[in-house]
Parts: sequence; structure tokens; C-alpha cells
Amino acid sequence: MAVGVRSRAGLTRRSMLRAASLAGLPMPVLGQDRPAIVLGLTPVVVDSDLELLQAMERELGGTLGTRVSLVKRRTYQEITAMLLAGQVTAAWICGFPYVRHRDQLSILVTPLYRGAPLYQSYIIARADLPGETIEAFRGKSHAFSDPDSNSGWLVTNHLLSRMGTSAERFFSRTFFTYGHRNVVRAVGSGLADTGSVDGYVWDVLAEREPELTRQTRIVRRSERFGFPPIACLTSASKTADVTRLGSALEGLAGTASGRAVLDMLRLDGFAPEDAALFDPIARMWQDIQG
Amino acid sequence: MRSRPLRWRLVVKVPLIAAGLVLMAAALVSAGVLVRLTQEQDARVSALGRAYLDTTAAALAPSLAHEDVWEAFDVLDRGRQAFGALRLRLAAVVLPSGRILAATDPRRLPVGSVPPPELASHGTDGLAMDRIGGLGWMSREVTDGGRSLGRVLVEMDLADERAGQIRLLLVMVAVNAALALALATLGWWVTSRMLRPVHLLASHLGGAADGPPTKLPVKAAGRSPEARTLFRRYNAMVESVEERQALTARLAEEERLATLGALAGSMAHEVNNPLGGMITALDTVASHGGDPSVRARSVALLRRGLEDIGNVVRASLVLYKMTPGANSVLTGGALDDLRLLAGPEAARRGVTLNWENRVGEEPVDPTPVRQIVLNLLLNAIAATPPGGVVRLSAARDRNRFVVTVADHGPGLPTTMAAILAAPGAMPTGGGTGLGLWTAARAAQALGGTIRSTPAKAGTTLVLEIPMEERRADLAA
Repeated sequence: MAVGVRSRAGLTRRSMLRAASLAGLPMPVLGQDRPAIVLGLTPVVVDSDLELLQAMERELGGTLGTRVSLVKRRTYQEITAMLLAGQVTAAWICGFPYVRHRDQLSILVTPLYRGAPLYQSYIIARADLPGETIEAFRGKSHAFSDPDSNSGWLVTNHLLSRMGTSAERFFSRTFFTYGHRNVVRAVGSGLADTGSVDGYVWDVLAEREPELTRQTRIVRRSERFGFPPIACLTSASKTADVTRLGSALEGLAGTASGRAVLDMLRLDGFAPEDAALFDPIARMWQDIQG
Repeated sequence: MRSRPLRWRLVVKVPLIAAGLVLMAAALVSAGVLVRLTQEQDARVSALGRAYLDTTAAALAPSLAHEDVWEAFDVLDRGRQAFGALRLRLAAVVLPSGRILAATDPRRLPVGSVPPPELASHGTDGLAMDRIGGLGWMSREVTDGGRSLGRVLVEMDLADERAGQIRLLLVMVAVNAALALALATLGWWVTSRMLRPVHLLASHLGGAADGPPTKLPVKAAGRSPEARTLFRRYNAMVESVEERQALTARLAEEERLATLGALAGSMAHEVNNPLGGMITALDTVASHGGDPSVRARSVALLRRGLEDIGNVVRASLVLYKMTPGANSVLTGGALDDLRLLAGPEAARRGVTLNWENRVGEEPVDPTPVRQIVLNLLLNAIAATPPGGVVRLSAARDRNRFVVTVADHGPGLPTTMAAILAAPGAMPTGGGTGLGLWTAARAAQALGGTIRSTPAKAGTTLVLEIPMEERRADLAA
């Protein structure tokens, strides 16, 4: 039985776009006055904090002298589609969708976490389940974050593929929660025995909502990958809005109010990084497909 | 001894009845209140549960259709937080296959597991409850366009409701117990107050057995009209008894005076009888005093005459001047005095006295005994026709002093027999029988009786007086 498992089969870029346009998706940004700058957000950040989003909007809007709107959707897929359709100025997406749409997308800036544009993927388990390695959790259930998430899907699937198995065979049941925080909730509550989660999100949650992470424990930390970047359409990368937004993000660390926003994000700043930073993710994707 | 509630005192019964009635009423009221509270709690829980189910069912439809574990869990979990007042222990979504899609407590109901049948079947028709365990269940079908997508079920913690019911029950028990105790105390106090005139009356009536009843001040009856009426009637009764007693005493006195008159007459006769002979003897001495033999005979005659007169005077002195109870021993001689007193009346009526006195020294009060016996004798003499015999025998029979007076009269009239049967009652036949009534009352005062025994002819009356053991032993 595969309750709640959403197969990745058939979710190619083309089919996705076709489906999205047929269904009227991606939804255009709602509102009477279309803001000059729209930044798409995925749950790569701790997105449950409304206060944080408002602070970012205010800060960026103040710096740019125009109204900045942050838009969120339930899945990575929707934000990626909006970005590709040119409905947002830029989007904070995961490295995985970036490498899959590298031909159309460019890196605007990449967040610096603990001094480097890098993060890890964690495999976590219920705190009350024994087991030191992932092998101990064979036959257990697993919560993935999003089918387009590097840390929340690709890393674990790549690991299992190298072990000669797959998520469907290794775990008794898998499902998506469409959010890293939701993965922690699912594993903490016992809805899933294990989960794949963004290490940066888990660490921030451990600081801000320790009662949530306390019900889970980290079984495996992956190698470091490029931190989810702010990407834009390559075709629009030279427009004034995009370059101004990149500068504003880079400049956050230079002002007190900007640093306050970065503190809330537990980030050190944003910096332009080489696209090669994401090559390891591209290789994992190729491995799995290959 | 086993106590019988019906014989308990009123002052105990009334408060107990009051307390019992209060407790009964309180139990009914408490039960009603508890039932009402429980109904309201049930309705509230039911309404909240239905609201939760309706809200979540609508939100769950898409996730059920897609079998989306996380979305289903998220809806249930957020709903649980939104419906905090419901105190959900568990909410679960069940697929049409009967398997769990998601539950708020996945450790208890893991994804894909089959819920225990008792949980799955609970609450399909509204609120089901385990009142002892403090649990409630409800469930609702999730449909989409008439197609069943699954069920959502909830298990609610009703411990607070149950604790509330128990708390109310305890408060009611405490309040009702206090109320019952207060009313019992009040009942005791009120009853005691109400019964105070009755107790006063009872103590006065009890005292009446030892002495004459005395009147009660109507004020002591308090304000109760019943008690005042009771007191007034009692006082009227006391007055009537006093009047009758005064009348009886007057009649008895008249009878005593009449007896005295009769005795005085017979005594005068007795004194007068020898006087003639004595005057003749004096004349003889005056004219023939020189003759020593005549003088001696006359003087002897005078002495005998004076001795007879002296005896009669002494006997009546002994009978009427002696202080009652001063000498508590009856001698045979003291009884023989009665023969002297009654003898002249017997002689006057031509009745013979047959005297059989075997009395030594008996421990009975001599004065009332001799009055009783004299009365019996005079009655017997009066009833006996001339030439008849009145027989007296007096003796001790073990520890009783017994005097029998028999006559050859026409027999005891019924009025007299009634007097003997109930010496406490007043004589009914006018003045007749007063002497016998006085005798019967005196015998009763000594603890004795006068009874009539069957005889072939005439009347035989027997006086029996118990003697004190100690004195009897000494005498024996």
C-alpha cells in the first residue's frame, strides 16, 4: 500500500508546465496594485514566521524605494513555475529545481550560513526509536519534504540509490509534507518514523522551537551542498528590478535593520556565488536518473 | 432490647421524619439537577464535537480523495488546536478500506493500521460515551458529491465533565446533609417547645397518683391554642375532683359524727345501766352501812359498776384520741376493746357477739385497723335481725393480718359490693354505704383489701392487711 505517496513519475518540467497552464497555474499575484518587485519564497526558509516575512518586505521595500511583495505557495513546483513564467522578479528556490532549470535560470545571490553558502541535509528519526544508521530504519515510514527539494528528497533518494535500493523499497511508506518544518512535525508526532529535512531549518527550529525538534534526533548528516539560492530568469537577469533586488539583498548585512532581518533568518548575509556551487546536486540528479 | 421506631419519643421521631423528608426531597432535586447538568454537558460536547467534525470533514475531503497523509494529519492537528475546548484525545481519518489515513496520535493509530473495532464503531449515531472512563466518541462520514471518501472520528476527554458532576454531587450531599441536620435540630427544638405543656401536664397527672391533683397556670401552656384548651380542661377536671373530694370528706365527717353519736348513745346506755344499781347500792350503804357484809357487797357492786364505766370510757379514749401511727403494734386487748364498744349496740338490738380473738402482737397500725373493724361490726350488727349472731374472728395468716366479720343479715347489697370492688370510686347510693366506703379506703391506704366471701346466709366480709416482713419475722 502506498498511502499518501505521490509518485514522481511523469512530473517532468514540460508536463508540469502544461498542467499548470491548463489549470490556470501558476496563480498570478493577487492584489490591485501589482508591486514592482515580487520575491517568491519556498519553504527552504522557516516560513511559518509571518513577522519575519513582513520585516523582510519592509526592509527590502525601504531599501529599494518601492513596494516589495513576498509570495508563498504550497509547493516548490508552484513557485518554480511562477519564476519560469516570469510572474515573480526572483525566487528563493532550492538548488535542485535550479539545476533542473539551469538553462533558463541564473543565480542572483546565495545566502551565507555560518560564514559559507553551504548547508546539509539531515535524516531524522523519532527520538524514541533506536538505530544509529539509516540501515536500522529499513521498513519504517519516511516523510519527505517536497519532491523538488534537494535536502528533503534528492539527498536521501541518492543515498538509497547508492545503497542499491529506492525509497519505495527501503521504507514501508513515504509521503510528502511540503515543508521542512512539517517533516519535523510528522516525525515528532510519530506520523512518520523517519524524515528527510533541511539541516539549516532543523538547526534554526532547534533554537526557536526546541520542543518540536526534541521529539526527533539526527541519524545522518549529509555532505555540504550549495545553500538554496535566490534565482531569476536568465533572460531577466539584467533588468533593473532584478539587479536592484540583488544589490538590496547583498546590502542587508550592511545596515542594522538589515542585520536584524538576517538575525531572524539566522543567516550572515547574501553574496553572489558561482553556479558551480550547485554541481554536486546536478550530479546526484544525474546519478538517480542514470 | 430491640428499639421499635413506632415507640420512639415524639421529640426523636419528628426531627427524624423532618430530616428524612428533607433528604428524600434533596435526593430528588439533586438527581434532577445532575441529570440536567449531564444533559447540558452532553449537548455541549455533542455540539462541539459536531462542529469539529463538520469543519474537519470539509477540509479533509481533498486529502482523503488524494490519500494525502500529511494534509489529513495537518487538518486534524490544526483542528485540535482550534477546538481546544473539546479536549480531543484522538482524531483520526479512516479510509473506506477501514485503514487509518492519519491520526492525531500516530503512535496509537499508525498510518495504514486498522483501528480497533470498538473505536471504529463508536459514535456513528451521535455522541457515544463511557461515563465511568470519562470518554466520548463521535464520527462523521466525509463525502464528496454523494460519494463516501471515508470517516473522521474523534475521541474526547470528558474527565472534566465527570469531575464537574462529582463535584456537584459532593456539594449537594454536603449541603443536603447540613440542611437535614439543621432541620432535624430545628424540628427537635420546635417539638420540644411544643411538647413542653404536654410534659408539664403529664408530670402533674403523674403527681396526682401520689396526692391530690393541682391546677396548672394556663400561661404555662404558651401560645398554642390546643395546649391552652388542654390546660383549661385539666384545671376544670382538677376543680371537679377537688369539689367531689371536699363533698366526700364532708359526708365522711358527717358519717363519723353519726357513728360517734350512736356510740355516745350506747355508751350513755352502758354508763346508765350500772348507775341504777350503783345508786341502789349507795342507798343500801347509807341505810345499812353498819352491816359489814351488806357494805362489802354494796361496795363490790359499786366497784364493778365503776370498772364497767371506766372500761367503756377507756375504750372510746383509745379509739378516738390515739395519734395514728404512734403505736404500730396491734394487741389482742386493743381489739377486744371493740367488743366493749360494739357490745352495747349489739345488746340493744338483741344480737349476740361471737368473739374469737387470736391476735397476739401484730405489726399493723392499730388505729385505722380498729376503725375499720368497728365499722364492719356496726354494719354487721345493723344488718342482723334480733336474735341473730355476729361472728368476729381475728388471726394472723402467715404474713397477713386477717379479720372476718360474718352476720346473718339479708346479704350484701350490690351498691356495697361495688364499693368494695372499687374503693377509689365514689359511693353512688346517696349517704348509704359511706361507712363501708370509708373502711374500704382506709384498708386500701394500708395496702390491704376488704372482700366479700360467699356464705350460705348473711354476709361475710374479710379484711386482709399485709404485715411488714421484718415485723412478721420478729413476731414469729
